[in-house]
Amino acid sequence: MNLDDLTEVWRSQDLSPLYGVDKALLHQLLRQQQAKLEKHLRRMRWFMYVTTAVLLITAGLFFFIMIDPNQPPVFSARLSVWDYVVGVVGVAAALIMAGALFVARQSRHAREQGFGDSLRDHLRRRIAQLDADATGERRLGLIMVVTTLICAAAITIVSGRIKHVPVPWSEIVWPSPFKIVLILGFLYLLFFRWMPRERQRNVSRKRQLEALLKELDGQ
Amino acid sequence: MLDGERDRIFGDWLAAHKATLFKVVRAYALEHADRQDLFQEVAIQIWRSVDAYRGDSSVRTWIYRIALNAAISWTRKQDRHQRGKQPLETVDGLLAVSAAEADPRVEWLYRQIAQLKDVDRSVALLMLDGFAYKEIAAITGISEGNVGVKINRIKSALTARLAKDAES
Repeated sequence: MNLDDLTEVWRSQDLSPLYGVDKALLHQLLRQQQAKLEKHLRRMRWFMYVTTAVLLITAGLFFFIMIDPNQPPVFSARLSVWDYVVGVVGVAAALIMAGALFVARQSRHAREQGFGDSLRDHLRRRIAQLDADATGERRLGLIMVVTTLICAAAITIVSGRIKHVPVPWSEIVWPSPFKIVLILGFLYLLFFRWMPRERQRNVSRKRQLEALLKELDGQ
Repeated sequence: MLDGERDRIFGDWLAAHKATLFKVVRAYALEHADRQDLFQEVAIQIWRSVDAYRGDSSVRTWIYRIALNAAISWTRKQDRHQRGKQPLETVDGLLAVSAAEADPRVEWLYRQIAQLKDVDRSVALLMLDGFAYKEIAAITGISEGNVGVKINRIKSALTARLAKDAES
């Protein structure tokens, strides 16, 4: 037997495949997988959008209350320049958060379009994703964390200054700015504990992919 | 694209090209349970890819490309699973051995392919299925020259093993 005979034998598989597929089970499986993936992505996306929107609206609303000309003069007399500065910083932080979210989405979209469908492109896409996670998107992630921290602290401070305004939330007992910063600082530290581990995992994944790419190029 | 439309296209693709999928699955997964898992993965990727198919290449080429990408990704996931870092979710009963007898010569070929590196397995499958160098280069993303070198090397290895088996 030679290689040509083997090729003929190989192609005979097309006429009589070794396996049969349970189509009903496959169909059910595909539906489940798709639903699971979509749910996960939707949940992640909405969490980010809702967090950013809530902070942006709250910071904007609180700042609007501060500068509202309809408030009695006694209210604005209680506010110092620094209160306005904190209000502006809160709104700016929320806007930066929204901007970072938008830039992250755009850069991911642009990166995806730069690759084709070949095996090499598939590997390069995964490597680029890991590189982006390690550099650009990590920076954006940091911006998100820092701005969330600043925005939440600013909202807490401003809420303390405008609590005399008769609005429904004026009865809410807010934790002190110190407590808020402490809690967010703790979350921030947790994030930095998690980041090096994730980075290490990504380095190992990247090495595997680079080895495959090298194998693809190797002669 | 509506889900019903996607299901219909996927069903047509599966009916016409299931032999291709089984070849990829058998080349990358040796145990039956692994083959079910890989088939599941490949089928999911192809089902998701229906929207992205623009007709720039033949359906066969497209399916081969998606299946090989999925198989190589699966082998890496499998490595992580074997190191106990990722759970494996397998659905039983997806694939059933049909009445057709497995040809011992085909089994021999799969054993030889299994000894190749991940990427070379892809090239070997495409070569055996009669893809031209240009098509193999487009699917794998390597140059035609490199494809030629890899194919010559694979052919030499297969010929040498054929001769060795004939002697023994």
